[in-house]
Amino acid sequence: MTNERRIKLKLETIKLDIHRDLIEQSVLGNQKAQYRLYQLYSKAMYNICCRMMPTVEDAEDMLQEAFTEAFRRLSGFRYESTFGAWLKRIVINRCINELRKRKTDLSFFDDMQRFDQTEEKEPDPKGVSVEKVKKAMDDLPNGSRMIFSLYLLEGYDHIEISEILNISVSNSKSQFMRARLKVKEKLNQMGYEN
Amino acid sequence: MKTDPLEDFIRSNRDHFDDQEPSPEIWHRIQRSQKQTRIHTWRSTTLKIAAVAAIFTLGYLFHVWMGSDNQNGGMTADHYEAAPEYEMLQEARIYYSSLIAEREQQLDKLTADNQQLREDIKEEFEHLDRAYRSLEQDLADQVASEEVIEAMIQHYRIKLDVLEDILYQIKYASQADEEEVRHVF
Repeated sequence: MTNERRIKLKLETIKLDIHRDLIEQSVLGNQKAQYRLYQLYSKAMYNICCRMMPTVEDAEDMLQEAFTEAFRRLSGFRYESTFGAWLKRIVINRCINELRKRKTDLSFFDDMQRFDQTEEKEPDPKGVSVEKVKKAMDDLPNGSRMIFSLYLLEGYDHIEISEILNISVSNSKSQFMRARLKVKEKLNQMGYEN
Repeated sequence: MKTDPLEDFIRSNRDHFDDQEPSPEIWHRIQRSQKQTRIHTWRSTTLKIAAVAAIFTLGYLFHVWMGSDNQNGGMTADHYEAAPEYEMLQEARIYYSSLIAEREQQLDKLTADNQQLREDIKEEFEHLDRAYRSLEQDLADQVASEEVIEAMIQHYRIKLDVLEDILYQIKYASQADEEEVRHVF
């Protein structure tokens, strides 16, 4: 284990301990503590919702529902993970369930052969920005975009992603590779355009 | 291990990807939906009391009917007082009565300035207590059985459970109201 990883783990533990008091107070219904938890996590959770849901209104609804559910279920939180990881899973499940309820089909890349034959060309690092990556991600099919986000931005591995999206691990891996290739293609294109 | 430059870029700039801010209105919506949940829980408690009262009433009718069949073969009060179930009931009565009395005192304090709420709760508990008195009557009338005693003990458990439920909800509601007054988000 690298030193960096050790420090990160230590920080996670400290973070968990700091929030324990807030969580315990929130379980007792202390609204100030609940609001503090909301302040700490709402922005990150809202951005996950924005990446998963088609509209801002949908993202707001999911954020509201996820926090309401989290506060209701908080007494069952057993500190087996960080509060953030627990909450993140509630948020993601809420979004996925809502999309399923609406019978929104998740779309994925299906032109496998083309990707197999395409050489992955790295974009010029000078021309890469967060804005451009986000724009390139917008062009991905929604299912593939979710896999790309869950893996790179939310830190899930392909086994976890396969469970969340109910797909096979190999499908998650191949869709991720294709999404990455597509984002690079788009970044290269944007580089030329600028 | 070979790393991918794009993945590296995204991971090192992870925080910049969270650039959207949720509207402040969402917190108010969360508060409103929590209040609705609390009202729903309160209604569930009332329903629970009503259901328990109904079960006791049915139990009572059943035992009256059974008692009329077994009047000559029933046990005497003396026999009952010596039975282990009766001893269990006495123990449960002592144990639960003190806990219930303690909770009732807490409830009295918390509802001191809310006469309406106090009356509502009193009315709800009267259903439960009425059913219990019927069971006591059964015991005195020698139509009691092991099931009657078990039902009486169950009564104490449920009453304590419901009292704790109500106490939690009142504490939760008063805390929430206090916070709402103090904080204008």
